[in-house]
Parts: sequence; C-alpha cells; structure tokens
Amino acid sequence: MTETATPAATRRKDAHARPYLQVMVLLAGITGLEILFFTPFPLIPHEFQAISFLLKWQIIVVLMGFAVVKATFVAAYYMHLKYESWWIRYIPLLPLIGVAAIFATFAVV
Amino acid sequence: MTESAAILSKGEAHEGHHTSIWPFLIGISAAIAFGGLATHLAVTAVGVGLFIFAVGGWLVQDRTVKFGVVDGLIEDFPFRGVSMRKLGIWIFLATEVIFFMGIMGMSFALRVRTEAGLVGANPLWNPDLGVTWAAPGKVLNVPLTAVNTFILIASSFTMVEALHAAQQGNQARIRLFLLATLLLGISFVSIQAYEYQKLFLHEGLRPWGLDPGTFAALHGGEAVPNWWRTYGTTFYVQTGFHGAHVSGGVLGLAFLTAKAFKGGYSQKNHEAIELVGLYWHFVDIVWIFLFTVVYLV
Repeated sequence: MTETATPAATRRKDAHARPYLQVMVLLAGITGLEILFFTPFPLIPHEFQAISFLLKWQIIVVLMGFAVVKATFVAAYYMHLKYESWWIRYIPLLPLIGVAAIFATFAVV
Repeated sequence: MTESAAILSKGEAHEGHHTSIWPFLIGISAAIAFGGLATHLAVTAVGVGLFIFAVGGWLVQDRTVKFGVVDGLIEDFPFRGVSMRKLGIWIFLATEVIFFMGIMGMSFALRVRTEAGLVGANPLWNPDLGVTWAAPGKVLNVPLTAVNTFILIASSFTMVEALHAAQQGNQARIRLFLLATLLLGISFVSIQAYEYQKLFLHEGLRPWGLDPGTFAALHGGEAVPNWWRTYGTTFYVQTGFHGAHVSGGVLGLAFLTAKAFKGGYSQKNHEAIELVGLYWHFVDIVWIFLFTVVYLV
C-alpha cells in the first residue's frame, strides 16, 4: 500500500465543525473554577465555599474529575481523536487505563 | 505552487527513500544522556553532545531532502488511511502516557497517604496535625502556576488554529499562529524557570534535600520537616520532566515557525504541523493532570 494520505485525511477533518475557541474557553473556565475553590484565593469567604464541606477524598475525586474532563476535551478536539477510528484511540487509551488502574490500586490499598 | 507540485511529483517518484538515520541517533543519544544520570555525568555530556550533533544532522538533511512534501505513507488495516508518521507519533505518545503515569502515580500515591490539609478545606481537617506533605499553596506558588496553565491552554488553541490555517493554505495565519504558539511556549518555560529559581534559592526546596542549617536560615530558624526531601524530589521529577518536554516542543515549534516563514507549509504539505501539534497537545494534557496532582491536591 503506497499512496499519499493527504486527500482522504484532510477531507475527513474538514467535514467537521471546529469548536476550538469554545473548547479553550471551557478549559479556562474549568481551570478558573479549580483555582477559585481550591486555592487560597480569598475570593469567596471560607464559610461559603462548597469546599469547606468536602473531605479529603471528595476533594481529590472532584479535582481529578475536572482534570479528566479537561484532558478529554483536549484529546477529542485538539488532537482530533473525535474524528479518528477506535483503533487510533486505543493506542493511548489502553496504556492509560492499564497504568491508571495499577496506580489507583497503589493509592488506595 | 508549481514548484511544490514539481517537488511533490519528484517525491512520489522516490517513495520509500524518505528515511533518515538522525531520529534513531537522537534516540540513542538521549538514552546515553539518561544513562549518564545514573552512572557518571561525563556520560551525560557525551550523550548531550551526540544529541546536538544528531539534531544538527537532521536539520541539515531537512534542507536537502524534502521530507514531508509527501505526506507519509498510509497504513493498511487496522489503521487504514492513517499516515505512518502519525501512527508513529501515537505509539510514541502511548509510551509517554506510561512514563508520566509512572512518575505522577508515584507522587499521587505518596500524597493520598498523608494528612496535609487542603487550603480552604474543612477547618476540622487541620493542616498542622500529622502533616507529612505540604498543604497546597503553602510552598508552591499556585497563582503564578495558574497563569502558566492558562498560557499552555492558549498555546494548544493557537497550535490547532495553525494546523487549521495550514489545511486551508493560509500562509499568513500559519505564521501568525505558529509564532504565537512558540512565544506562549517560551513564556511557559520562562515562568517555570523563575519559579524553580525562587523555590530552589528562597524556599530551599531541592531535589535532594538540604542541610538543616540552610533550611533554618531561609525559614527563620525552623527545623526541616521530615517530608521536605521527598516532597522536593517528587516536585522536581514531575515538573522537570514536563518542563523538558515543553522545552523540546519549543525547539520543534521554533523549527516549524522558521520553516513557515520561508513558506515551507502548504495545503498539501503540512503533516509536520499536525505531528508536532499532537505532541504539544499531549504535553498540555500532562500539565492538566500535573497541575492537579502537584499543585492543587
């Protein structure tokens, strides 16, 4: 199989919308939320912060959840995984799931 | 246009000849350099020297051989329609996933076993009770790093816009967005260098720990906490490897930008922008997790 890849690859991507700016605003927004709630910015009086009712593991889960959402958006739209086949998605996803499972086990056990 | 079309047809006539020894040498030299970190710094010096030589050789070769004019060869099942070079980058990124998961998992596993409070968290969860880790924001400068986070997010956006411009063949926008990405990348590295200097000299946070006298002098006579050395190691290992990746990306971006200003990319020939972009976005994703693991939790 020796063909050039340009036409097919380009056509497929151009057929989709490119919400790049929206994704950036979303990423910045989530980051802002993280900073607003989880660092010593005195933007909200402590007793009104949602964070003050959360415990250690709840905070870790919320923050890691934010990170996963952000990473998913970057991978889907900026790295165009949304428009790739599952075969390509498996390449980074399988080691990610595998190693994450190992380290989640180490963290909890 | 006619010139690039001529090169394209010439390239197609010589398919299969677009191989280069230099990436292989770059990999070998990096391995030697890292091996030196565990054995002797002279070995690292040799590795770095070979690395610079190999990058130089690749740059010289790029001026004579028109890589990238032919947008790679496409794969058969199961990666039908995917260019070989793109597949290679994805496999490389998969190994990077394992690498960064390793060092971040190490830090995360250490962190969740400690009782250091989160700043702004439940006051009953006292940061001063049973602390074996720094509470977020106590040692590290979170506001400054937050600025860095926004910079990296913005650079991902400009990078993907540069690719879009290349797909449309808009030369002015290719140059504009590549230059913007390059400048944002340089800003990120500069801010991190500033942060390192502050932490290293003024906070006494070192990758290898430091003598109690120096710590006491910097912190008004306080004793070194028992977690200080481990904390410093995990911090520098994670941010250092990420920073090295960003610096490598900046070199790649500098190459792309210089080439773009010479009109090196067109609607038909822009795979290099896509590949460097994939790497750059991956580095952004690593920072997203690193910011949470190192700075926020």
